[in-house]
Amino acid sequence: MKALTHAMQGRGAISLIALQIIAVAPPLAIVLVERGQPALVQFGAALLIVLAWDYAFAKARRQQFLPQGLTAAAIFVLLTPTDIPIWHMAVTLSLATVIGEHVFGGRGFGFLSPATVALALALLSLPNLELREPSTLATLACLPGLALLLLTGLCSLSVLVAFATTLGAIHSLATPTDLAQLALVALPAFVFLIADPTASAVTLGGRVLYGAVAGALVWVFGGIATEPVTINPIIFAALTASLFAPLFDHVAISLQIRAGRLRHG
Amino acid sequence: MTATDIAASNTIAAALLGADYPNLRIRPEVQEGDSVAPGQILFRNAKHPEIAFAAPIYGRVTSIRLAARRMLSAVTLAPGDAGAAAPDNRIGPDQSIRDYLLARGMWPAFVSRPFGGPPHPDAKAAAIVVSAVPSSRVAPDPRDVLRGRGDTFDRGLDAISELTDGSVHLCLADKSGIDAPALPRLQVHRRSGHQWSSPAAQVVRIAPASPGRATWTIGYQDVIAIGHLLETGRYDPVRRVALWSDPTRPAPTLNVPLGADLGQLLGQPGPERETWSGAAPSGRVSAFLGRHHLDASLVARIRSAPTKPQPIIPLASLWRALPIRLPAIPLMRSLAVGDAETSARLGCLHLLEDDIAPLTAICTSGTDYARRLRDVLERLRSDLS
Repeated sequence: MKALTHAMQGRGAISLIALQIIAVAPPLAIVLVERGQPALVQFGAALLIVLAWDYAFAKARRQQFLPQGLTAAAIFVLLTPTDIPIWHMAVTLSLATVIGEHVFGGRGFGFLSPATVALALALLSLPNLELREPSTLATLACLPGLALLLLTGLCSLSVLVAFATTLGAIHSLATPTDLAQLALVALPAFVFLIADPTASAVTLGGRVLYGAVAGALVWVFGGIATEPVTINPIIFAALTASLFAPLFDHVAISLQIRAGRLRHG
Repeated sequence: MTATDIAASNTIAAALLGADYPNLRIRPEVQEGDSVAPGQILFRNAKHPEIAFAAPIYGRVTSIRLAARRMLSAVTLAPGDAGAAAPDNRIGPDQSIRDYLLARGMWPAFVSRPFGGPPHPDAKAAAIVVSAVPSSRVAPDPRDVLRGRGDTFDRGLDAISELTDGSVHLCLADKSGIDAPALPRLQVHRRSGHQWSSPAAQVVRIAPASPGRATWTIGYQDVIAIGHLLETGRYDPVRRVALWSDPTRPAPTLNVPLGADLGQLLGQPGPERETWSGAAPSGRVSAFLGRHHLDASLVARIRSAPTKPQPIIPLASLWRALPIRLPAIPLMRSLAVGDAETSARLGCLHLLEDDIAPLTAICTSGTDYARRLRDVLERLRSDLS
């Protein structure tokens, strides 16, 4: 794994995209098989949309074409129902790709996950939309991806522990819901949205804060107290936590500097 | 060829490198083609001529290369016969330790933190940190190096204590089995852990440096060399180092001259591999052994910096790569854009090039953080002076 980390040296966002694609491939493959032709058409359309934007921005900036939107398209298809209108998917994915990624300079330069932005936009613009959780089999297929991302350092263990602990603690206080069901719903959203390294905090303290706040926000947005548990509140929790991630880092750095001053005079 | 043969055979080329002495303008005392002997002064610091730099081998000066703004790039020496006599003069009765070390080329053994490089010739250190911790798991064991040279080491420790009003801190690995001498201002620190081998970690834990309060660091083999100089009047350019070209085999430790040609010792680098001075991933790519390095290896070639800016993907391994606990990724971002003020706030003054080199080996952006750190440190130094 150390060799894999060193292989990422100097390769920019391509290493991130490649590892995220490897992580999302097993659950996506299961979902495509389970949902059949409509899901294949949806995935094909999503790919077309995001890659068109990637190509357009690469041309405009005279940069090498990089399929940055692959992960956003895959995660979008994993978590949305197949009956979402194509035009709607085109608008949300386009806005998310441009606002969440390309205006900042591309993958890795921004502070939002384009997949989270796309799903949040879809939920905001279609109030009756219910995202579709993957089947239990597809959810469990996220575990190898989680392991890969943890081992390569693309997913932070601090975020995972803080998120799971907060979610578990709040669940024990307030809940009619089944903890196992909550974990199954939260797993794909955590692996592919909350744990996105470019959208989360980057300091150790900031990551703990980020994970804890993301867990608490799931409760704030109604993801724990309601039956049945849905993925919708987790999307908003991921987006809100991402927006505040730079603030969490600022707090963590300020505390660290202050502690250093107290220690060294 | 045995360990002793490498240094004694006088067949290894050597060099004094600008990379070890940031922004050093020199005043040469020899010319290309001149014959030199170990301890003979090759050049002086043009701004502070008291600081002399000595030749590590018998041989001939093959090139004196200067970089932009006449900064030292490298002075290279080819091995030759022991024709010229090596300087042999003991410390005078009225000569201070400081003047003696400056004149005999031992002053560059010290590194002043913050900012790096040899200390100002008139400066007094707030504290001196002597590192006798193996720099890597394959580095020479200080206990082996010190065997039979304990008195010389103690003499060196006693001498350098005159260069500070504070304490001399001897850093040892836990259970190193090294007995420290009973000197009035000597403090001994024993710890375990990988990060303890880094001078940056030792300084931050023991005597944190700041622009108004410099801490000097020196390696235990340099302290032995100082003791040897005081005892015999002879300059000791030999260091025991670990050299490994095959990671599957134990690294041999050899006695080699300072600045030894790594191509001769490790085999010439090819398109896939290059010679690395220092305990990788600390250290740097170099054809010659760095002044303060006790490890060298053949490593896979690091990808050259991409022409267009690449993003810094915040991998968890990045913040574990630094020897001290600093917010690595914010620091990398501020260094990448040359923001000196933010870099200082985030702790860049605790670091030197070797400390930050592991980030270059991991980061997806391909940025050379050692070079960026040097730029920022020089800017901060000029702002403060």
